[in-house]
Amino acid sequence: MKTKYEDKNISANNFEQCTKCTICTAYCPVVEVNPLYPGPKQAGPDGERYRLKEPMYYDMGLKYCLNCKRCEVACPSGVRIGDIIALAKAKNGPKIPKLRDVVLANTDFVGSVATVVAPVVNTTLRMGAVKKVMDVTLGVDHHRTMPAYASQKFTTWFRKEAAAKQREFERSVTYFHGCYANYNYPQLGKDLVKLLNAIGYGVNLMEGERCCGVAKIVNGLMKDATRDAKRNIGQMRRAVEMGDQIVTTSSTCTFTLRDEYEHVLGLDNSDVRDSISLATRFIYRLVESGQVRLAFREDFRMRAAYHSACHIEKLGWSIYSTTLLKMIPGMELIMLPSQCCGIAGTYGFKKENYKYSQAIGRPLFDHIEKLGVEIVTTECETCKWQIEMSTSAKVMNPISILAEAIDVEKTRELNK
Amino acid sequence: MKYDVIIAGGGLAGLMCGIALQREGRRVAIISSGKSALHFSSGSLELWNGAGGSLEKIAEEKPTHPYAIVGTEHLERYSNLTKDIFAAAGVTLTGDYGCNHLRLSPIGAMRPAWLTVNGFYTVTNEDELPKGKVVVVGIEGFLDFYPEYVADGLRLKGVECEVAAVTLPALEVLRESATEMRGVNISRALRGDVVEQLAERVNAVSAGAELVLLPAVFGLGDEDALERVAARVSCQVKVVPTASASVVGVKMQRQLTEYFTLLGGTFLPGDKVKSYRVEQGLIAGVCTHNHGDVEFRADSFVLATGSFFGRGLVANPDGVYEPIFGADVDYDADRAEWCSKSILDTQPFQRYGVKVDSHLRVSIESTTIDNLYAAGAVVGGADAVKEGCGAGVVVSTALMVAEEILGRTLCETNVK
Ligand SMILES: Cc1cc2nc3c(=O)[nH]c(=O)nc-3n(C[C@H](O)[C@H](O)[C@H](O)COP(=O)(O)OP(=O)(O)OC[C@H]3O[C@@H](n4cnc5c(N)ncnc54)[C@H](O)[C@@H]3O)c2cc1C
Ligand code: SF4
Ligand code: SF4
Repeated sequence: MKTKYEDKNISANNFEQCTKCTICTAYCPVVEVNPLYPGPKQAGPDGERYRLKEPMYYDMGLKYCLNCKRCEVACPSGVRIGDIIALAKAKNGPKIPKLRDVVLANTDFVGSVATVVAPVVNTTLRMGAVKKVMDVTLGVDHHRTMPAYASQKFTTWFRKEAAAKQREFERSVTYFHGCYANYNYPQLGKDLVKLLNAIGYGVNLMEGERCCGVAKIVNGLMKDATRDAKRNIGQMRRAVEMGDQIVTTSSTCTFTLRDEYEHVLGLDNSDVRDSISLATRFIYRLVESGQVRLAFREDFRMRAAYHSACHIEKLGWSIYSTTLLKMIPGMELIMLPSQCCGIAGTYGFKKENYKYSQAIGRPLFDHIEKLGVEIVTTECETCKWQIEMSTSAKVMNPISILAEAIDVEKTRELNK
Repeated sequence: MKYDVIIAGGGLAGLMCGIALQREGRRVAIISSGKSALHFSSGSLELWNGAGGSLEKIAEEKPTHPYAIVGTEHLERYSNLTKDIFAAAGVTLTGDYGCNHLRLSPIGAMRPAWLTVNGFYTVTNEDELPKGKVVVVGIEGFLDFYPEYVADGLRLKGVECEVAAVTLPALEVLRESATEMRGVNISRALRGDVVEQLAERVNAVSAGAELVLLPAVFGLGDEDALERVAARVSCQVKVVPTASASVVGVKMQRQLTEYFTLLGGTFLPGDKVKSYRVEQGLIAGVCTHNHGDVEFRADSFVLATGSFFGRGLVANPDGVYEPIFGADVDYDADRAEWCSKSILDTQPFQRYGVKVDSHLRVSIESTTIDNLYAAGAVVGGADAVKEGCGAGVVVSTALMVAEEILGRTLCETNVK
């Protein structure tokens, strides 16, 4: 009964499905703290009606949108509000991005330069004077601690220390490491290799992996984002043709590769989309179907709180990580209420957003401090920066916790 | 993923059913594609306003009405259980089965209700309406509350009524984006000193009044904001429902969801049940938008997807259908019969919904599915608007489904 009409009358991003119920405005973290933001309904489907008539109706307040998609999770009518806003920003927003936005958006280029001179960069980025200069000249808020760069990239380590060994495995997956694991925190990539090897999977990397492009998308650099995305889709296609699944450790990269490529960049990724998965989802499925068994260290103890990052909330995938973490005998896992931490990628680095960014995250920070947990666990790297800067907790990706808790020898035996 | 029970839809029906089952130790997952009709809540749950005839005779007069299927003899028990579950979730309801009270609607009409959240203006009957002056106090710029409507309604009943509007610096900032001057945002701003300041302003406009009526915008900032205003204002203070998004509804949704999760239930927000698999005449599993081919398996399934608003039912020029299972739906084949010309008349489409058997089980192509139940507004046969039975039908069908699945009656005393 439905195909006849419903498949044909759906407008872009479902914008005509809006019933004007205002439910989305009750769940937008920005509306909560920033009266200058017009809110998801007005910035999204309502504003779109005007913009379609006349682009001059574009509201500069749209720049405050975090692209967190919490409005979409709340909308009962399936309107892709966040996508409508992201596209409007690209189409109708200011055309010449600020130097600061270009720097923040080019995570891979900046990262590859920075890793080479990491010790210098890291010290420099921490110096009060430099922060002040960046604040004034670039508009990067001086309260921010810039993420540290590693002195050896993950890919360099992999080539030197791990690549050869991967050929010993009969089964394999391709790892999309993203900029963060490559430049800032290679340990995450190493942890994943350890874990996958323990359960009998070898790891491949894509040739010339590019940044997933999310930072470029939110900063309006659509052309560059599209170029990177096309390259990544091509490489993922090759991996899938070889029979590999593509696993990731970053929630935002995952979400971008799967959904933003299609919805915001308008690219066809349908043949690879279902093969892209967060590593915890990939492992969970093997465990659930009995193909893989995990053995954990008996002496492992941890009390950790799980933070559901916005893009995990949108993907709906927190259940995989938390189910795996709960399998660890020595683990006490507490669920934090699902709310935005305020950083939203490059958003919170910008001077004009810093105040709002911290106000959005405040209830979460207070909650973490009140629980008194030493470890917060989340799949998002920018949440890690934000929570570590704003609380006393250390933040770990679930993959790193699993890698620490796993008994490699026993797990290997079990999966022979 | 394997659970004992999977519920599609996380509105009042899904949550009540999920909570009742989870309290009895069943493992329940609720999958909900967006926020629910609770966001329009007036703060009152309606059971039966009498316009649809006598409740006692419903079995003879309307044999397909959900109350005829539930059995009116069970309504009192379900009513008590509802109060009990709401109280455990932190929401105090006043009122009792068998004696409706009157509550005020946002347009000033007195409507019969059976349970109402504390703080709302209610009277046992119209004789109890105030003999002295009533002041309806609005908030300047607030888009979803019109004091004149409320005052006019009361004047028609012979009540002396004035209107006034107040504002505060903390509320004025919200008007920077005029479209965001909504109940939820006002509510969040009502914390700390602002609450006492508001009380002072209200005092200043309500000299000589017997009763002050305020919009129901309290409780998302400081939990006790309404009590504090009431303590400072020299006459009685009560609240009146606003248009959506209703603050009391947002709170109910949050509190019931938190309670369900606290009991160990799994709540998957922002995800849509898309397809199902049958094995030997029973539903074996469902698949969702977010989880792709990861199947959710269970022994029993509950359809609690609501009516047209949440897309539990969809209408197109050919008919009305239930989009997940294609369950059999009761509706008029002749499209001209669907609605009446005057908006004030009874609207036949209000009654449309899925067909159920005496156990609230659903049928597909006229074959009853033994492990698929329906609860809430998706069930056909009731006219929530005309009969004033919205929440009554929802909670009674939800609790009956829980009992069908458990195979025994729920009683207040054996639940925690
Ligand atoms: C505007 C309005 C105001 C009302 N006010 C009152 C009132 O004040 N008092 C009263 O007693 N009654 C009121 N009612 C009656 C109302 O129908 C019920 O009170 C009740 O809220 C309905 O609950 P429900 O759980 O059955 O459906 P809903 O609240 O509609 O919830 C259904 C949920 O299922 C989700 N869903 C739909 N399809 C899928 C899918 N495929 N997969 C997963 N999830 C899905 C929806 O997104 C939604 O969240 C009102 C109804 C409306 C529409
Ligand atoms: S929640 Fe969805 S339907 Fe409601 S106003 Fe927002 S976009 Fe429109
Ligand atoms: S994406 Fe996030 S910040 Fe942007 S409108 Fe939606 S909820 Fe608000």
